[in-house]
Amino acid sequence: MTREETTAKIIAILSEDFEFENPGPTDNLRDDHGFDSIDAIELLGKIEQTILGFSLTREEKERAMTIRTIDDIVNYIEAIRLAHHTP
Amino acid sequence: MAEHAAAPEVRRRVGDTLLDLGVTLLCWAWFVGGFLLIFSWAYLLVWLLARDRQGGFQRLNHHFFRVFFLLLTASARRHKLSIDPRLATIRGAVVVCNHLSYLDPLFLVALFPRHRTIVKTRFFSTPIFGAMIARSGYLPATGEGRHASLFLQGMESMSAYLASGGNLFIFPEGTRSRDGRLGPFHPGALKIARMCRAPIYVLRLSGSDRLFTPGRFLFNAHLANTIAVDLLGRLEADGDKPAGVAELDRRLRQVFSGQSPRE
Repeated sequence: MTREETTAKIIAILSEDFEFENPGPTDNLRDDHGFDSIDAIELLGKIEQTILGFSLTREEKERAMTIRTIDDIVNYIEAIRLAHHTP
Repeated sequence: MAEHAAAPEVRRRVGDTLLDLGVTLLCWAWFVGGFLLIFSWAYLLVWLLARDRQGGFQRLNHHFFRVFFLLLTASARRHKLSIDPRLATIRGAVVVCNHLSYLDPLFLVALFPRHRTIVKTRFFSTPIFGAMIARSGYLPATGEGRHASLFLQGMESMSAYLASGGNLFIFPEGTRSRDGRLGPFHPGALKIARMCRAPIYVLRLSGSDRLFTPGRFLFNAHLANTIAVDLLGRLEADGDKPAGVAELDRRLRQVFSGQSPRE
């Protein structure tokens, strides 16, 4: 999945499942859309199921708790993918 | 003449204040002494021997505060409790309630033997109390910072906890009302119910602020009062396609305002 495809997938999840209106890649999700720690956990579950295809560790999830923007989420997913594919 | 007429009133006020002071000191004595001298041993035994430490801590909290309220109502005789009997049947639910007094969370702990709740994050840094609430499975209000792991652990196990019959109670206003009116709701309770596919039970608490008024140190033990907890309704967030948070918020307000929520 390319970066653009990942971004589109995250935007689709946030729009459909979280009912965010027109979320943009650089929006501050907390300030602009009321995204909180509970949303972060639900979103991580969806990222595991629909994008990564594997479960995240507790440490990896803790790192996601400070995410603010969709760009941050995509960076996070790319870093996780890289870490899991690096021997 | 005027001095003679005022004397009974002064005596009554002094008597009321002494009663308030006595009941407040009795409750604090239980809060500190009951924990240190009696319950701390039980907590230690649970910690050392119980398979389900979290559940054991929750039950001990429940019994500790049942005794607290027994003492309170036995000493403040003009305060009565009125508990909706249907509350005893609530299992596996997110329970939301309005918030009037610091007594409210203690009251709900005393009502539900198996419970979790969400607590202001700063309390987790308090010596002894912070350790007690963390070991009871209570969650910090935010998932960031040094308590992120505790928050994640609690949230990851929440679905299984609710499915096993435990209840999560939350005050969605996040703070005590100063005028009795409902404030804006934090959506956390609704999000958790939706995520865990759990029903939401809506409770209305009244009278606790007359006993322990925000801003006062002493209990108003001398007042005639009824502390009531009523079950107002149930919202479904547990279907295949549960309603969104905004819709659940709208229905929650309808239930609190006495209207039937339109689905």
